Amino acid sequence: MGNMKLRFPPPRPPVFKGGLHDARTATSIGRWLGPAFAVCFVTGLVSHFMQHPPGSLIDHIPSRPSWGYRLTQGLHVASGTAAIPLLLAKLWTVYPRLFEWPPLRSVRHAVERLSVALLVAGAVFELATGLLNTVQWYPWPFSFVPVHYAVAWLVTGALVLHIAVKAPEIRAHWSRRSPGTLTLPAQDGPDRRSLLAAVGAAVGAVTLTTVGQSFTPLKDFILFAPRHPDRGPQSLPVNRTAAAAGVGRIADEEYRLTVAGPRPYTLTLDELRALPQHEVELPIACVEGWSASAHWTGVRVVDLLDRTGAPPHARVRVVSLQLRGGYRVSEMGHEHARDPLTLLALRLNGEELDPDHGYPARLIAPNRPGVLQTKWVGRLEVLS
Amino acid sequence: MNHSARGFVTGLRSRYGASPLHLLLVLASFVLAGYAGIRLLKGDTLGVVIWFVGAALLHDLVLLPFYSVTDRAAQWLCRGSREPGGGTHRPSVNYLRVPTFVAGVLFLVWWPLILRQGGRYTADTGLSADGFLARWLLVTAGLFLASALVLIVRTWLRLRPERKEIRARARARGATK
Repeated sequence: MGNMKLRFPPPRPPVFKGGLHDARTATSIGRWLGPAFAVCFVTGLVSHFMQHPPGSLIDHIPSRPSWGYRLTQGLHVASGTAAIPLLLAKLWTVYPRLFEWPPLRSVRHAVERLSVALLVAGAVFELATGLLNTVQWYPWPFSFVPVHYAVAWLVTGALVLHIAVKAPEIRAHWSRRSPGTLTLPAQDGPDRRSLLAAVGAAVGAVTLTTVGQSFTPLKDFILFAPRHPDRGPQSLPVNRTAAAAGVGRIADEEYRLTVAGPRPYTLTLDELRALPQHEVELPIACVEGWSASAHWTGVRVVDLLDRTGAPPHARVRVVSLQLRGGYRVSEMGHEHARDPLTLLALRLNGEELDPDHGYPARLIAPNRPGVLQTKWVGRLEVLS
Repeated sequence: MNHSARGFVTGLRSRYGASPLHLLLVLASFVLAGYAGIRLLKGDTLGVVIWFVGAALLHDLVLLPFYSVTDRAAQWLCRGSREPGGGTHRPSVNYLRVPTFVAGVLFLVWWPLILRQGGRYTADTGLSADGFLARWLLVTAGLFLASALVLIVRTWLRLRPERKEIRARARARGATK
């Protein structure tokens, strides 16, 4: 009992005596963190090119499979969320390296450290900004999308370099019986397995309590996800209410749909309702990671385009009546515009659209980011 | 490979510390970072730099030291509870660590909802922001409870041979009386 008194050590640079700050632990976590970042990056690229297709690429965005964006964006947010505990554990493992002495040993060492600094700052930045975006909180002074996109490239470049530089160490510690692992103290083994199990539990916890927002079979386990696929106006989530968009409820008699093409025309709401109606089941899949399937009824966009005499390869611009918020205007390539599933929807799950869902008419198209499923549509423009 | 090329590689190795392939990879990575940087810094340069550097500093100098110190405190607490005699059977600090870590990660990931930060959630989604804090507290309580249950069951299982022995000794005493 005599050794129970508190002793304060004199101030000195931090010394890390604990185990597990070793290459085997870093490799074990990296084996999961690397794939998580890879999935996040690839699905992020898909999302970026769907939302901001450069040049003529808009005509090559496929409209099928109809659940494509639902899958990729669900994976994007799920893999990014799962990467958070993995990144925390990984950075904890390699933390002593931050206090290496001497800080720079050679030119090679200097450039490697610079690259690792970029990787760490970029990875923390990406996960933090992406996460805050899922709860629609933007406390930073810059625009989210371009910065999140640019840092993704920076992180990926630094990550590829990091893996290449560390390849010999990764190989030496890949498994429990790899030569490098065998040189580490054997008594650290159980501790390391406990650490990895705890990290696995944390990944499982954040995933299980949120992934139901896009993977609906698990929706009963949603505890912290910003969205539940069954909750919202008409039991379907929205990202911008009619009030937030500044439109409120649009009066039936004031509503006009203008189709600007070779033979332009204007329709009242009654005329729009009198056109042939079609029912489709399509998911609405948001960049923030939630998605839900619904039954939509409305007029096929291709019918509206044929009526104005639009050429078959024409692009279409969809303009909303909303007054506030981004994404007032969206564009579609001909694949989406001509797809028989693409509707100007008037009804949702058998009822008239709620104002929050875009009353009186909204776009719903297969394999398309939710922000481009323009609501409160007042105008379709045929682009040559 | 001719003599001068070999000389270049050896020279680079001795001065740079690695093969030319290493240098090429490093250069490719930095050029990519430069490309990203040009796109990044087009708008609010200072804002982006502050957030980029701030993210790493916040993690390395605030978050990580905070949970390392917390962990040290937990370890010290658990060591303090050592039994005076043998001291071999003290409960592992992991019973405290694991639920705290999982609850902490959940909090770190969803604190804007749990602490109602941001403020636009209800306006944008039409959903109530209630309930996240209560759910997190309940989940945290559940995690600690589950950990306590595991500890109780394991302790009970570990002590079973000793209990058996005590009972057997008691029976033996009773029989000799």
